[in-house]
Amino acid sequence: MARETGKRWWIVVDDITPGADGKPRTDPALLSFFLQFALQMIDPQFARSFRLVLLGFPPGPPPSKLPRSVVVTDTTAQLSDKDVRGFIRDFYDLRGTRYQEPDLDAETASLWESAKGRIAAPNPAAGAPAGAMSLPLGRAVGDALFDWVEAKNEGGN
Amino acid sequence: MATLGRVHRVVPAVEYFEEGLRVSRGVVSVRTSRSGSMQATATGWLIAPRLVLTAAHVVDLPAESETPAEGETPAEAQTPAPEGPSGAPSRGEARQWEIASHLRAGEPAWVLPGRLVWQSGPADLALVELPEPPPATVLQISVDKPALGTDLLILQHGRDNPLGVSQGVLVNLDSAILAYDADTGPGSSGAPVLSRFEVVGMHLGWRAVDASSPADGGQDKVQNYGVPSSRIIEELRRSPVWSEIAAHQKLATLASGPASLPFPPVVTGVPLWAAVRWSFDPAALPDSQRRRLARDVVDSSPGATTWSLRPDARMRALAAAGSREALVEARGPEPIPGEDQRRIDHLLRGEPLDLASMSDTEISEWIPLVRWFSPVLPGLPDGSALMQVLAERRLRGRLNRIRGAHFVGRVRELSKIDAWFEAGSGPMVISGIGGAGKSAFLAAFLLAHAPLFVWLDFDDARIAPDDAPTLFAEVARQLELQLPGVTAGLHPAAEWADGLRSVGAALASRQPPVDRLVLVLDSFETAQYGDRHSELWPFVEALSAVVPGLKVIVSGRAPLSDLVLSGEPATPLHLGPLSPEEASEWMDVHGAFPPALVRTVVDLTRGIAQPRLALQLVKGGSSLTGSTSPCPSTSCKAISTPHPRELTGEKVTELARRALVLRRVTEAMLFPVLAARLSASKASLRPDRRPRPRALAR
Repeated sequence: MARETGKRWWIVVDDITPGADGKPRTDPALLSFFLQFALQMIDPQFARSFRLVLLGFPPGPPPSKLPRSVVVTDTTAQLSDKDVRGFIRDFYDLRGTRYQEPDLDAETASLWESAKGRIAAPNPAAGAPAGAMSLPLGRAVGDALFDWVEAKNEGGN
Repeated sequence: MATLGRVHRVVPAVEYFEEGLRVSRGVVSVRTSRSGSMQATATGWLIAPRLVLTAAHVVDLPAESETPAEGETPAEAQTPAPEGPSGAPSRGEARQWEIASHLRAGEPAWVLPGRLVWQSGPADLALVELPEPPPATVLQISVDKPALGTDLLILQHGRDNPLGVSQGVLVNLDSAILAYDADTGPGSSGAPVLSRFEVVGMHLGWRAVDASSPADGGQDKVQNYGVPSSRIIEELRRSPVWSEIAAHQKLATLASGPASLPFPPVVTGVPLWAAVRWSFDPAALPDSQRRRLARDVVDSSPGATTWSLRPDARMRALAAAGSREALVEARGPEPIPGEDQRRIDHLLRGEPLDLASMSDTEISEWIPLVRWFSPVLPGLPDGSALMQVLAERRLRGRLNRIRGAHFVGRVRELSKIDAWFEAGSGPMVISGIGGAGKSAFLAAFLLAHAPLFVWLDFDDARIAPDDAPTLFAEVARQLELQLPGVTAGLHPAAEWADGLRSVGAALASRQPPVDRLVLVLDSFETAQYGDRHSELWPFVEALSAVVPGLKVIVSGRAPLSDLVLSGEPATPLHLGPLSPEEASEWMDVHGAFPPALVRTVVDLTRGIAQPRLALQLVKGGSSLTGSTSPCPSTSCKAISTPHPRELTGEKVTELARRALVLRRVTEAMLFPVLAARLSASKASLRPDRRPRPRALAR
């Protein structure tokens, strides 16, 4: 496909590793398949045609067979308000929106508080059903940013 | 050239003056009057196409909101008074505003009436709205904090005078005040203070500052001052026309505080009906719901005609449902087609999963579903249980697939490996070129004897021969599948050597004790590249120590001439070409060639004897069916052409013959792998005489 289209294909795979409870989220054969796929990245010609993103990879180093030169690891475990500030800044820069540094501070504080409010433990007394699950931090931040971007797109800079 | 100061400040003259002229068109004179008598003159500038910003003290009226009381001056203004209004306001009469562009002496370029729309006393700002956008430039307000010493220009109207300009530098700056040494005069209140033609402040007046130091001669000094752009922006955010200003200035519009952002219910915003459907049509949803759900589906791109919930969103919605009844009610009775929906409905009906009747693929597809629904549907099998069934099947099923349904030939070789298995000592090394059928041969052997086995394929990305923990993890995984519980005593953080001892003890304690284990090291040539197998042999030795009946089979394209394990030398077994009879039988059962051509193909493959390769070539190229020519197609020719005799040079030819067993001919592989095959001692292959890969590349 890559050869036919002449384009670089980005493949993003999620949920291929066990969940936090150690139970499989999908067939582990999928992970094996994509690790074999990743192994092909050693071939520069192959690597030019693909980018493979494996989301939710378990903690620890990637398989030792994959050369470090073809693997980049990133983690959202340390997600903080600095990341939110960076997102806001990048968003404004891309749109050509002008801002003052205190504007970023205020906006970041506002969004971070909103995200934290979303991960508060479900409260049955407040009507939360039994078995209700709170949002993970990453998702809560994502939701807060999603709302924020949507508001920006609906009007305002 | 000399640069005085830190920055070279020579700029292109024409562009500079053109930009100055452009910006000048955004500066206006502001006049107020009552009952036809002029009351005040000042300067203003366009901050949006129909909005003029000027100094509030020009207004000098009881405020709609924050106007200072009569006689009160802005907090920053010291005596004497700000340079703005002239004449006292007469209350109770309507005030008229006249906004004009007066660049040169003579008649103004344009004049428009204005209307006060907002003012801020503390910051001394007033916004005047025009009935229509004039032919003028909207000035850009700066978001950057200027440094002390910055060059400034002030574009200003003296009373009844055309636009003037003065120059100076910034001498003081804090959050409320911008002070400079540029000249101003009556009527200049509200003038834009510019740096690089951006508005860094707005002029308000002058003030005395105490500079009674001996160096200053002990005299008070006077400074002109204004309100900085940061304060202007901060104040304008409170105005009713802020969104209009922000849009034109491209300024960030901020949320006014955390409470202004929505705090939706923590649990889920995903409706349950979506969670019990594999997918749904977004076009059928109201706009508001579609927008809300867009973030919770796998693909919400404009071209997506069906949406399916992301697993995390689905799990939150299902967990919040609390009961099967709630799920059933949300599902509703209407039929929904699709195999995936059928599985969800199967779970909602509470029907058991009959794993025995399912294919591997079906079990695989059930894994995410049982994970999603198990929190609310107790009694569902665990995803791990499904995986156990699947992995067991695959371990044995893989052997069947590798061997194939029509394994033929290799009688002599099978006899030899059987003898080794029953009574031989040391490892066995199986070699043969790619496609010779080594893996199929090994699978046939294992299926025939059904021993406890571990198959390590070095093509697998998860295991590396120079990384013992990866080897141990795979050994433990395969043993656990065949003997459940054998790794139960393993500590998750155990070192591989400790882990091996634990597994060995578990094998020995079983009834009957496990005294034989076959370890297959397949695709071993992968490990040979670059000598990347430093930890493999110590690992195998350690495994042999805890499982005395360990039988090791090394399979690869390149031979291993000097392998010794536990003091025992290896038994070599080379898988050469099939005999003409075996090759003919192989081709017959695979049905790839017309019977009339089988003998031709067998003859053409000669010493290489690659029936599987021949089959692949035919599948990838033209068909031989119906042809009567001895070599009728390019595919047929391709079988015969890669032959060493077509290479020139005796030494190269000999090397090439050997190199055909390798996947890649690299310099690192030439000496350790090919030297033995050349029957040459290591000493005879001096570095300067070693053949180079590029010789083979010709």
